[in-house]
Amino acid sequence: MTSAPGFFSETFGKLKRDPLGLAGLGIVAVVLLSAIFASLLSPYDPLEVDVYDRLSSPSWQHWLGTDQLGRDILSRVLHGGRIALKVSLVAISVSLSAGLVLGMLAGFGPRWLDRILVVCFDTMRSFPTIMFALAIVVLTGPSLNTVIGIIIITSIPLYARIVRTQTQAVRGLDYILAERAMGASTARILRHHVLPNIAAPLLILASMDVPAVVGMEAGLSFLGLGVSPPTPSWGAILNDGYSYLRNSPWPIIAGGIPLILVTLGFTFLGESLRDIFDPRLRGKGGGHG
Amino acid sequence: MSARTPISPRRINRRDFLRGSAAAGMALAGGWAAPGWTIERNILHIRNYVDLTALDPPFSVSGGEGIVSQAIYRNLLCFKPDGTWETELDSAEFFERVDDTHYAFRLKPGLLFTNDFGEMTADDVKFSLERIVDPAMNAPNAPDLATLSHVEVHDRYSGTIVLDAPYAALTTVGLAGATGAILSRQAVMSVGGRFGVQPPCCSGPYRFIDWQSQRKTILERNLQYQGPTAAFDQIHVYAMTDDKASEMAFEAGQLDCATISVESTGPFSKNPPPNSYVDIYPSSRNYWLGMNQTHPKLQDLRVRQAIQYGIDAEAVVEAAWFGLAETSTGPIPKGMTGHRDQALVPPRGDPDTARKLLRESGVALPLRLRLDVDTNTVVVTAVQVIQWSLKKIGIEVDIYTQDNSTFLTIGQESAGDQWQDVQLFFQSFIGLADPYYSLVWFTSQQLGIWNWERFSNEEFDRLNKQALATNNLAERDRMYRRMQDLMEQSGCYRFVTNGIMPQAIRNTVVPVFRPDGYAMLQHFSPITSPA
Amino acid sequence: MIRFITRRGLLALLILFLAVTLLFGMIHMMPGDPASVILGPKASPELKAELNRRMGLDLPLPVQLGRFYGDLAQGDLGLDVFTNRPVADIVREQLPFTLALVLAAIGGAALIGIPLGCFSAIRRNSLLDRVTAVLSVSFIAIPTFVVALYLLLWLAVKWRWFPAIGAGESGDLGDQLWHLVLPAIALGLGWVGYIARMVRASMLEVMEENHIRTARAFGLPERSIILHYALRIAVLPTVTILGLGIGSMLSGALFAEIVFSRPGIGKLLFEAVMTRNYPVVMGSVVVTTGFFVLSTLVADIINAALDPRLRDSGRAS
Repeated sequence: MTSAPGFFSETFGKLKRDPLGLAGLGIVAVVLLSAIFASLLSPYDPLEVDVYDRLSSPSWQHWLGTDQLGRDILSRVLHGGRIALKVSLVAISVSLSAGLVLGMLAGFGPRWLDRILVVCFDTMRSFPTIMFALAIVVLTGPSLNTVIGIIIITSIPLYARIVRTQTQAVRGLDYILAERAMGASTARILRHHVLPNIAAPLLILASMDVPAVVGMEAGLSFLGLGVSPPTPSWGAILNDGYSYLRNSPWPIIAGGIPLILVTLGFTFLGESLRDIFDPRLRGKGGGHG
Repeated sequence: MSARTPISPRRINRRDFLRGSAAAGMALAGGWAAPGWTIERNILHIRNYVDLTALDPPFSVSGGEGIVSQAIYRNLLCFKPDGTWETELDSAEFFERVDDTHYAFRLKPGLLFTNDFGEMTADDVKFSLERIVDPAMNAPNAPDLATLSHVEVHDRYSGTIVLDAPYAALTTVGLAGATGAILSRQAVMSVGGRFGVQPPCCSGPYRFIDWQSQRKTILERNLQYQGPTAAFDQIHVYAMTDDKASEMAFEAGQLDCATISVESTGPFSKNPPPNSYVDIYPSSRNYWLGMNQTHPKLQDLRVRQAIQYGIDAEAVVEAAWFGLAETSTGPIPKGMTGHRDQALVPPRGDPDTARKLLRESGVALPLRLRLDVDTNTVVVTAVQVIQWSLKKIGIEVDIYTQDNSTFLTIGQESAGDQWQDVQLFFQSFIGLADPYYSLVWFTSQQLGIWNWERFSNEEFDRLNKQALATNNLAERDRMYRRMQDLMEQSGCYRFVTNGIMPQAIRNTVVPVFRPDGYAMLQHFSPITSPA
Repeated sequence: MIRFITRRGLLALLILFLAVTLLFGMIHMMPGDPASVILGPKASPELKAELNRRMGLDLPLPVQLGRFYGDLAQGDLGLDVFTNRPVADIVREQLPFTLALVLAAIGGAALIGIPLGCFSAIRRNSLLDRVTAVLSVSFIAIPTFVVALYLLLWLAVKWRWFPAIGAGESGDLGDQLWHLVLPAIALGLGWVGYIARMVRASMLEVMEENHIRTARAFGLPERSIILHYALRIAVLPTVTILGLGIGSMLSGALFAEIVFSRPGIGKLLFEAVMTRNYPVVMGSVVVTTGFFVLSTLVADIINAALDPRLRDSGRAS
């Protein structure tokens, strides 16, 4: 493995040559920065109510107009980025880690464990997601943490399956069998042979999963099952916009744009990274359906 | 607009503004060949906000079912089509209160039931009313005929209704409402003593023809009706729970009349769909913020009063109802006995008083409270305004939205222990034709059922009983005012508004609504086309 | 092969059983009950208890579950709690709307996606290829409801080119097709990109293969090579993806049904959960989960038929 800085600059160099990848990187950077610096960039407090200036169109005071409570839409959209960021970071890192562990267990462990885990994964996949989300939210009450929990539970099987397949592929290789014959422990094999092989594809998968995760949170908030008011999640902004559709189209327009940008940015970036690291993976699907 | 019903003084003034813009819209739309304008068959297409589950009077709980009931059945008395809760004779040609527990009636002769079940007799009245309170029926609507003992039949057409104790709401809630429909004993017994959505007989201006679940109910002119001929050949009542869907259906010309959502009222008035206008009717719903006074954080009266003064109800109405409704002074709406002209807490509240009260109470600020609400757009907007106003006086409110089925259970003891954790909540109840129905939910008897505030006042309970037992309007008025004073003084309630019932109406139809904004289908009539 | 099918079939049944049982437990743990919803403000504790008793809801959960499976085995999905209509009838009424939507979405997506992918593969790295790549990549992940909202806003409400709600007049096929356009676009847009990419990738692989090279060497025109060999082979993986898609789309259709106020099983399920209409919930869940499991099974079988290496259970992914 080359040194980390060398690795990054080499990757970046390859990325520069792909206009789509570069665009993706740019968009991701914009989204991330605006989310991190949301408080600085927002002209207003996203929760500030001004009952007598509701549902107004874009103006100099409010670049994206105001919502049904007179709150500045631009400020809410920027703060919505924070929520999206939090949801993606937490949900993906947790489900990735859990999926990694479970997948390796399934791939390298005893047959019966594998069978049980596969049945669990497939059962989770068969659940109508919305139904599952509905039931959980009603049982525990709507909140951001509930949404993150739901996303984690439904995402683990997807990561786990990929890890499992890769692990099983490695398991049967000749030199692995040789190492085991020589007494190498499972942990060592996993760490030295499986992990490096799947690290890159997994991380790319994770980055391409961001739009899906953000989309799921938005979808749940749109159905009224996500964040509590007045939290400015993008899905909540869209939900409000849908209710007040006839009064002003701006909440919907403004709420949809960040979702589209996140989708474009992370997908372009992920695609380019995939092309760089493993052109063989091109065209194969993965992640949420 | 000569064809329209004259304005009742009870209507809200904003109607005039809207009618002006509607007239402008109509001028633009003039000349359109609109649906329902000239058709071979005169059919009224109207939205109902709920689908039918029961048309059998003991079990017909929802107002939506009441709309259909009142078109297909006759009662002894019915509401006048003038926008008030005044009653007039329907199937009775004579009705008199003999004393507080005896009411004499005589039916008009020759009133026929459909499906060949013959003439309406006093025995049918006896049958229909007694089964409501029959313990074996376990009827949810039994309280509507609260103290009914029995009905004495004197001869074929006349009888006396006998009560165990005086009951002031007998005529309005009991007899004129959906509960008081007169059915043929023979017809009901022929289907086993009770029925669901298919009435075995009808007697009203319209008769029931068909019910397509989750789609529509079809009524047809009842040729056997003894009275002015029904104005439409058929009425199609569409079950549409979703406001948006019904608004779009109205725009697409599929409906002639539909209740629309508050948020669409403005846009619809500015740009009415072809050949139609929007009218705002009053509502008998009561929206309020309740506080559970047994919760540790809310036990101090001054904290609760601070919350009352901290809420700007006008701002709430401005945001959630677009300023189209008025702030309320209590559950009893304008025009009804017992309505208070003024609440004790001013509509805009008073943040300074609120802060002073909080200081006096010595509670540590910021005070964190939980507010439960269901997911309806209007109330979610309303509570965010409340959240904002309370923030300004040092109270941080966490809003918990819950789907309606869950929300209905939060204060109920039968659902577990969660009622103890209830702090603030935003609720709304619909009223009926009598003031008692607006206040009965706050008695001690309702603790753990609908009295989530755990409000328990001996004088309130006593007045509730007394007001229902007397027929003296002035006395009742005084008592109900006092009851609302008591509610507000307890600090458990902040009354916000009674809401509105906006209706989109096609120009080809002359509608008639009750004072609570519910359609009186039996009185709707078409405007015949000039062609 | 038979062993494979039987094994996978049994596994599918097991999964279905687990999913349905789990959901049964979850929904009965939710606060609220149909009696409260039915009775509204008149719901006194006594009346509620009585109504719940009549609906069999006071029995212990395992007993209720047992009854449910017992009835299910006889094809009885129970009665709707509010209208007393057989759930099977209700599901039978609503399912076709969702199926029509899903088929329209996938069909439309395939109609556009397959040629697009094909051309992208043939004219590799051309402008068309790059533009398709960009568009397909972005469409894949935009949430259905966002697309639906935008379509509703512009094409239905603002410009009124398409109807905004409903499924159209029953019996009027043209009207119903017209009402399908926007929801199908919302649901199918992501699939256009997905299918295009799959077809492109598969075609690129196939076009390098030996028997194609042989055909070329023999002088067969490129066009017939594409049509007769490459496309046919390339479409197969797409077909299995489509099979999976139909199964998973049923829950994706929920958003389209809500935004466009269309009848359908997604909306039926959602509203039934909201009103605690337990029999309808369970009936819809059985049907939708059953569909998903069935389509996954069929996809796996087709895959295994094509690629014997996949028949060893546990390898299929």
